[in-house]
Amino acid sequence: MSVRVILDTSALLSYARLSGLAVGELVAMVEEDGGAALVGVPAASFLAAYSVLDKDERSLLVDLATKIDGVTTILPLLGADAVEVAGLDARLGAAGLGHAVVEARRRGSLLATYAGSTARWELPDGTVLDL
Amino acid sequence: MTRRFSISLPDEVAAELDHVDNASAYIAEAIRMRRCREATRGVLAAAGYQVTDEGVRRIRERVRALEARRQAPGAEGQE
Repeated sequence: MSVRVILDTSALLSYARLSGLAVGELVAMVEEDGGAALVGVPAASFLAAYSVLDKDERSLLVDLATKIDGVTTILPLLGADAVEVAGLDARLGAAGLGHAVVEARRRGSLLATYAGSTARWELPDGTVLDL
Repeated sequence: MTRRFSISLPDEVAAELDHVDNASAYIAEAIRMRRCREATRGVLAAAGYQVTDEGVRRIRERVRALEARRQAPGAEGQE
């Protein structure tokens, strides 16, 4: 399966806080388009978002990441990537964004984010989908 | 494990099966896709999102435009 779009921490927070429709529309689009494409949720982005959400918001985040088999999937943080991801998070000043950047690069996926200007420090403009 | 069913289909739907090699696999895949769609829309609706066809169309246009840009010869980020 290929990962068509990756959600960073800002996208996950927006979804869980009901502060924007774009992530829901993106997930519905990937499902409608079918095929073998997925929406990727980097594990470090998931952890960063989860840590700052309240109980109800966490429930929405968990459902998004775990209850839509074949559409969304949590992308594990590999040991070999841990140091790079930590460095990116520190440099970008955005917890969880580093893992999303690494996964977008590796998989050739689009990064869906509300932090597009920051993401573009590390990714080509055409890789970043501003939500 | 599999189960055998005797089902009735409208003519125009059944006609689709005239063109496939494995009707059982075709129907099974259609049911899986339906289940996936219901699960997706169910999670979004339970969260309070009312996703519209127009909203999905707009985001699809933006995604496809970016994907096309990335696939163009000499696109940024290409090796």
